[in-house]
Amino acid sequence: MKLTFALAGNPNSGKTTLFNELTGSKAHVGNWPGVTVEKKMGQYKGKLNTDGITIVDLPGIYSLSPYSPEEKVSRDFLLDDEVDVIINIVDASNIERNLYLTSQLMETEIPVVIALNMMDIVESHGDTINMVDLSHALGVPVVPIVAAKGKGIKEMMSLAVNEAIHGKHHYEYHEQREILAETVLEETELYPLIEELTKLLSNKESNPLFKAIKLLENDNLIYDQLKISAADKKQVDDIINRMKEKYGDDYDAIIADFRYQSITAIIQKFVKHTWSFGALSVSDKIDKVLTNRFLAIPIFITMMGLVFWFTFGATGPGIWLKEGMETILLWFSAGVEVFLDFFGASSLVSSLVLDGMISGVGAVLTFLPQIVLLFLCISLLEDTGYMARVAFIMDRLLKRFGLSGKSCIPLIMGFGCTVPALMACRTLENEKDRKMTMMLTPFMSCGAKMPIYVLLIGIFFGNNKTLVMLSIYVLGIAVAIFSGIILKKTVLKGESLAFIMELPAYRLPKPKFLFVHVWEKAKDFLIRAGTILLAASIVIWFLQTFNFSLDIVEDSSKSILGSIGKLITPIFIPCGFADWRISVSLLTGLVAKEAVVSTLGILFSSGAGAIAGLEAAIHSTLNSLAAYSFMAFCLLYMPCIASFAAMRKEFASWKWTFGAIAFQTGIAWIVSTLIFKIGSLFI
Amino acid sequence: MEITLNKLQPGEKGKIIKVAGEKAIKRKLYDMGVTPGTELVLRKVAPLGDPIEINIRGYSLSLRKAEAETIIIEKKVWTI
Repeated sequence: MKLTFALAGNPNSGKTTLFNELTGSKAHVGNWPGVTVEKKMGQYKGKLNTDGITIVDLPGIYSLSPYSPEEKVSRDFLLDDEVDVIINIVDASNIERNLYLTSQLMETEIPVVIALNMMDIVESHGDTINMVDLSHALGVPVVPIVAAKGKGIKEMMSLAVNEAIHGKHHYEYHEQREILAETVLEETELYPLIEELTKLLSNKESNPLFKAIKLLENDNLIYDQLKISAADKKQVDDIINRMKEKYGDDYDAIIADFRYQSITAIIQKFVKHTWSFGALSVSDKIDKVLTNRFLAIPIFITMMGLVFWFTFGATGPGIWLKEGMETILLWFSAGVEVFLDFFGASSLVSSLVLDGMISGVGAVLTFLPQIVLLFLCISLLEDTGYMARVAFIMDRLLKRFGLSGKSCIPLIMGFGCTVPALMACRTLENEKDRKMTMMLTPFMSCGAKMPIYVLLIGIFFGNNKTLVMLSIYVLGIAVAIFSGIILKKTVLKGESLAFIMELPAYRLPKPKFLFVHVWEKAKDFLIRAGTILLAASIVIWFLQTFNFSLDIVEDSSKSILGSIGKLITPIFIPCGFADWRISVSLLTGLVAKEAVVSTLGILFSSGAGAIAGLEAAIHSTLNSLAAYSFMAFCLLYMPCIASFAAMRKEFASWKWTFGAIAFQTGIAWIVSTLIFKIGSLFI
Repeated sequence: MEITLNKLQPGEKGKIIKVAGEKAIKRKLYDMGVTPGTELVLRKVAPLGDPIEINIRGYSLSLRKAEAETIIIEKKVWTI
């Protein structure tokens, strides 16, 4: 028997950690609400008496309302797809709010198993949860687990398989539990209406109880999808109208209220808290410093400064590692040259390997250590829970530019990679905030653009490396702010609507997960270097070695690539970098931003191979002003193909996607022209 | 004493009486456990004056003053 289990739970309840434990896969675990923005699938790695179990990790949600994209994804999946069991992961240290979602999941026809996570935290507080009685009261099996340590997972899975085989109503607790319905609303005054509506739906509809309650909550999506007859629909309308009459304008919110009342009653019976209401938790104490009125912003700036120093600082580990990498590559290149000579390779083959493959890929590979360090820092900020505080601190400021505090999370992630950053925009419930954030995220200079700056700053700004690097990042932020103001006044009018966000408890990041995440990024980068960038390097080498009649050219400006480059070069005259090789590098940069540097590496290295030759060649083509203008262009112009695809997916509109890239490229051209023209007045 | 949540000072406690305001936002607040009858503590105001952080149902929630204005509470006065 093939089974499908869905993991559902609140953000930060440990769902992704559990998913990783179950499947052995390495999905990223963060500590801010909404890390899983799309459902992920994997196979259960353990052995059970089945033909395989597919585990689906749903986005973290607080409810099954139709108001946010993630909640819609989750409930569509649960209602439409073949899910055998819902494993509902509940954060035991935050049980009251977590059970709110549970109470909704229970109302579907799918068997639910509650995995009570983080019991260790509960116990360390001296609190207790009577799991047997809780299970009786809810009519759902409850199993304690510690997802981070892999404890209790086997028991949970065999319980879930048991549920899948025997169906929802077999469970022994059903006979003993105090509440006999499938909903916690049974003992409330609403139940007669719910029961009547459920009966009406149960002939034609799946999940009648779930749908009945949603209809009473004025859920139009469910209403529009009803398959019942017109006569029955009239009766449905009649019941909804009675609900409206009884509870007035507030009728759609009354169910949430009743749910919480029932849950609170259950909690009071079976959960013993030792803490007194209003007492400070550990996170509250940490926040006394980190989100302190006076210290919060200086601390945030210091943190960002430290990240920057760590990755780029002249005395930081990033540069030190980069130099090591360069040395290794130099030896490697020299070794390969000796090897090729020894076997008497033709000059064309030597050129392909040394000037094409090694120059291209090598130019990018030297930046691997810095990119890894940057990702390490961003993951640390996410995993500890600090990122959510950044949203809290910055919301007021971002509101002015038509953004929400939650935009901070994608924007900071954008310094790592634009693709996951764009996907993280889904956690913004408000469409306008979301679109705005997606328009601006690419202006946050991604890790792949970093090699361009390091290369050019090394050549032209030897004395002020760190300062010039910082200025590029600040330029990106400044342009984003400026664009935000423009967009707010034109296409995305109006205020940012609401900011309602959980501040998760601080957690010590687990070195294992941190390492895994960073390793995944490094691997991803290496794979790109070995595939896309290697292929691009070979293609570029080919195009610059031959002309249209496939003869080898002496002067590569007469090559195929030279001709293409020259065609678009005039566009860049006002920007100050009208050179065909640079035009070509910008084109290849659309494939992947690392390709800008690998292209420059191939086109500017004159067979000497070594980085020194490349630097001298670039130095003779550009001046420092033009180099800065070029960096600004690279920073701002349309992001790579992968980001383009992510944008298309998240905007779900070609118009917006093309609008965004046209806007970004236009801004890039204007800004670099301004830099060059104004700069020329002074130099 | 009935006031709106944004009028509470850091460290002060209150009990929710009513959540008014726009439908989708009200629904979101309800989903997050901000329902009538619930006790809360105003933990702090963000450095730039907005949003605020409250402790409710054993966790921390942040929301803007604009949303807090729609939440009517009864301020708890200390009793010994």
